[in-house]
Amino acid sequence: MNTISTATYDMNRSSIFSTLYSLKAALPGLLAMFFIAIFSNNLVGVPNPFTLQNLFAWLDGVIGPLNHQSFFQIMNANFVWNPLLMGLIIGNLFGVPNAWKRGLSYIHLMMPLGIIMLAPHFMIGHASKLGFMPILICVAAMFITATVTLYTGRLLKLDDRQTSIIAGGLSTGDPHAGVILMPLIKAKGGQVVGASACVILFGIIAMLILPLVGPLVGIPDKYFGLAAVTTVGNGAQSLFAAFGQSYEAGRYATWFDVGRHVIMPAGFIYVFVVMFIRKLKNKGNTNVHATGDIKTFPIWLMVFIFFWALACLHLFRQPAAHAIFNMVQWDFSMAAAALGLSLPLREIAHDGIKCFAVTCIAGCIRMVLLLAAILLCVKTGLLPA
Amino acid sequence: MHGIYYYLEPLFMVFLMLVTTAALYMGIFKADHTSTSFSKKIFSGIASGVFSMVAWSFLYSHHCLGW
Repeated sequence: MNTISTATYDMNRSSIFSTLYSLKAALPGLLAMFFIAIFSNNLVGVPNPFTLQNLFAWLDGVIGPLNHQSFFQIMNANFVWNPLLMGLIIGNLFGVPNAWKRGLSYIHLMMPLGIIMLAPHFMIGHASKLGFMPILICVAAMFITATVTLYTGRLLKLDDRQTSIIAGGLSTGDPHAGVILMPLIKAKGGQVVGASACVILFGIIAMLILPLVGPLVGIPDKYFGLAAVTTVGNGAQSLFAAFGQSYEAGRYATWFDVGRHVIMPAGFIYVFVVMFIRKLKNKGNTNVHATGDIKTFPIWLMVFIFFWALACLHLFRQPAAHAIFNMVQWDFSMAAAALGLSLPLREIAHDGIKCFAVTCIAGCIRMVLLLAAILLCVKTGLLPA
Repeated sequence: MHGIYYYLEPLFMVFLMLVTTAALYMGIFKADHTSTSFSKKIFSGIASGVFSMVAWSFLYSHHCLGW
């Protein structure tokens, strides 16, 4: 917007909400997001049984458990992926009318809002039962994985935005953490979905390899659970790997999984901070795209960190935290629907092989390092049997 | 259903019916264009509203009565 039009706009606008589209302009897109959301997930308040989530649950019943895990959980089906998948199918099969596009742009408001509301979901205190060493291993695993991934991406000259999304997904263990990083890194939708798909695919490979490697390394079942949680991928994939080793390892993986879960926000904040500092140091470098035009530390991220700190101090009562998480599901369902609708499939496949190579190399390095570290801790008695 | 949900749930039910009506009115009947005749707009509005009410009544009935 040039100076004259900015001045005219400032004179004419009546409130801070004047920047938003009118309801009439935004309604078709918002309705599209809304209906994809309520037909994808069982969202609180909506008595609709015809959802993709229920379809997957039914199919899981047909397929039966795989190492005590549901097939669609292993494939990372959740409240972010379901609407994304449905939006992707609708958008690519039928196209997206122009009338929807203004409403779909509300994704840029919904994502930061969803992330802020996610804060009470992660209470660090919940991991205290694990003991000092397992917590230290979980924390180190997260930061080392993120760092190794960022370096690998740089070595293979992968777009730094996509590398950051892989780093977020691999280090936190939840591939959809990439969606949280999207507004921070200013990544393109195709990069986010492509990177997350690579993380899911690597998780499947890792969950099959780890039970084969486990007996060779000689880590006891108890700490094989910890190894599975920190080296494989999402919760279901980790549990698949651990139950593949033994029932005991699987039960311990359930126990240790909380250690990975509660520190997740630190993982994506770390990736953002590293890439943000890198951008500030490399002004004018045309190869540096991550964090885009963000000039200062985003206020909404500070709000998230503030609420996360409050949550860790147990200032949110549990019923409130659960109610807020229901709102997060609503928010991310609609945002993911908009993301899916606005993505042509060829954008997702762009740089796919390089992206997968970065994920596999970083994931394998992480697996070797952690197996060695856990074995060392067991042998030296730092992790008591 | 107690506390604030006593008010929120019926309000949300009305909201669901309204958004479904709007989606059918604009998406199926395409009656939001300025060129659409007044009679078609009225008919489309009523038809969308009735269909929406029937559909959600069916879903709420299944949800609340568990048949």
